[in-house]
Amino acid sequence: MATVDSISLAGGSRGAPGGEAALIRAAQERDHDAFEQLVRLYDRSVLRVALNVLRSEEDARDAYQEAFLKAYRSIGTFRFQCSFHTWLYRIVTNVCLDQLRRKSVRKEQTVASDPEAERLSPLDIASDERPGADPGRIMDNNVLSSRITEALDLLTPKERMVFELKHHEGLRLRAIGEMLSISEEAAKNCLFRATRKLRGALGEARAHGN
Amino acid sequence: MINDIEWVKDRVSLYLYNELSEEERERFESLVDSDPSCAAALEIEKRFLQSLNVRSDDEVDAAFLSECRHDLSRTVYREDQQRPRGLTAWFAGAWAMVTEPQGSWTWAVQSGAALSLVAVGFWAGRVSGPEQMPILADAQPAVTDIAPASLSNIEEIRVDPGQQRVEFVLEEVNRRRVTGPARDPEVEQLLLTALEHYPNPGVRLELMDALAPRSEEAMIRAALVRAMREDPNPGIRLRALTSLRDHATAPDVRAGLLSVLRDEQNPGMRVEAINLLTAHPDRGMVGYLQDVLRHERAKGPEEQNRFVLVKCSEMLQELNASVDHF
Repeated sequence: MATVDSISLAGGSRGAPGGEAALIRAAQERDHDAFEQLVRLYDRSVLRVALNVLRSEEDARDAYQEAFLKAYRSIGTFRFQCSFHTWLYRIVTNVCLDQLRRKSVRKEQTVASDPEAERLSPLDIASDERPGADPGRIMDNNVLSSRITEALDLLTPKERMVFELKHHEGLRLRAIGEMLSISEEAAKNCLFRATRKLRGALGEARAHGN
Repeated sequence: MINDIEWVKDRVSLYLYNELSEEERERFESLVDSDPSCAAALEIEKRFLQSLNVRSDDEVDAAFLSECRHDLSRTVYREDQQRPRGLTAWFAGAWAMVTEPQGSWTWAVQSGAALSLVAVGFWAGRVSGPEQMPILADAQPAVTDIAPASLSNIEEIRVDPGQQRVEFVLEEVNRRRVTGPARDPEVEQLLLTALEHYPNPGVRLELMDALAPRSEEAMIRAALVRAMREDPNPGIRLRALTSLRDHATAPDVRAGLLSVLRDEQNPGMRVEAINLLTAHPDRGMVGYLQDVLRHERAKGPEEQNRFVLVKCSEMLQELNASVDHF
């Protein structure tokens, strides 16, 4: 579990020549190299968040592209009223949330429109969200990992995002709230619901001997 | 006491995430110290939160990250090419201001702009000609059609009998001559495409030598890394590798070198790659080096590259990582 509470973004703290502020100003003037350096400061963690939230390399790649392209297009509107990290992650979280929501819709539409669906039992199509269900899908070497992945499907997109940013990225709830445009209290409630659902799902799985 | 346990259970995850207020944290720790059931609840939650770490990947695969960066670089470049530049951009901005002015100056801005346009037109009519207005001279590369467009494929045909109309979607081939400075973005894009696709390896080698001095530029470097990994000609792959020598510590280049070390058949390439990597050891390479060692040891004695084996082992030892069979 990440223990970092905040990320220091003082100018020059990441070793970028002239400091981050100088990079941002240069990128706002369409300096490609400056924008690339800004990307390099954050893109590893952005990709990690996208991979952990979306659980698909293809989706994470798309989210990475979309988020940084949006950042490139709108960097001229950044006014240093918050940290660049917060501003960027606001974009990243919205992109990931949109993808998660699209995935849920696609799953429903596939069930509705797939001609094969009529020949299959609904249990074969719809994801069974009961913990411990369908044990045939669990891989021998990754039982717990599979269970956690399934348990994460129980979370709403926002709960999943809050959980990811808190548990794996170690961000403060206040910062997470800023990124998701919700209050700190709302972020706290999201986290509470997320951990409660995960605890319940994994606890039941253990009770069923999985 | 029951209330205390419930209070602790409600806050235990926030405590472990260090999100309790000072007052709540003190009360929480006091209850944990004094009540075994509260302490047990804390331990259970600790184990639960730690178990959630089993699925997280703290390390992003370097090659995957490199691909994402490369794709982004190209996308940003294309985005930028479509953006209006110079005087065109000025006119685009001015036009936007006239047609969509903000606030209470709408009438004044539009009237002023209209008068300005008339004045500019009058002045331009008095002095126009490319030689008098160099800022309006065409800065684009010269493009000349060599032959008329020729039909290569008919993709779609739609017939509307009622209207007696037919609609075609065609593919045509245009043969053109493009002449311009090598640093012109359009010409540069053609150079990079030719480096990847031109069939003659001698020409690809010349292009690479021409582009290599600019390897500090992201687009050029990405093209050289791609050539190092994918060009079908081993001589060109080796030339690309040597041209990236000064950037061996850049993540995209390093990912490319590790890929060469793992997948390249040519022993000379692998030796060069391992030499560059050993000059800049980094703990992030441990997993990849162990993977290379395992892969190399699995080969028959005739196929093993002893130099690569020794160098990998030495670098792993320098990084305090295991070289044993795993």
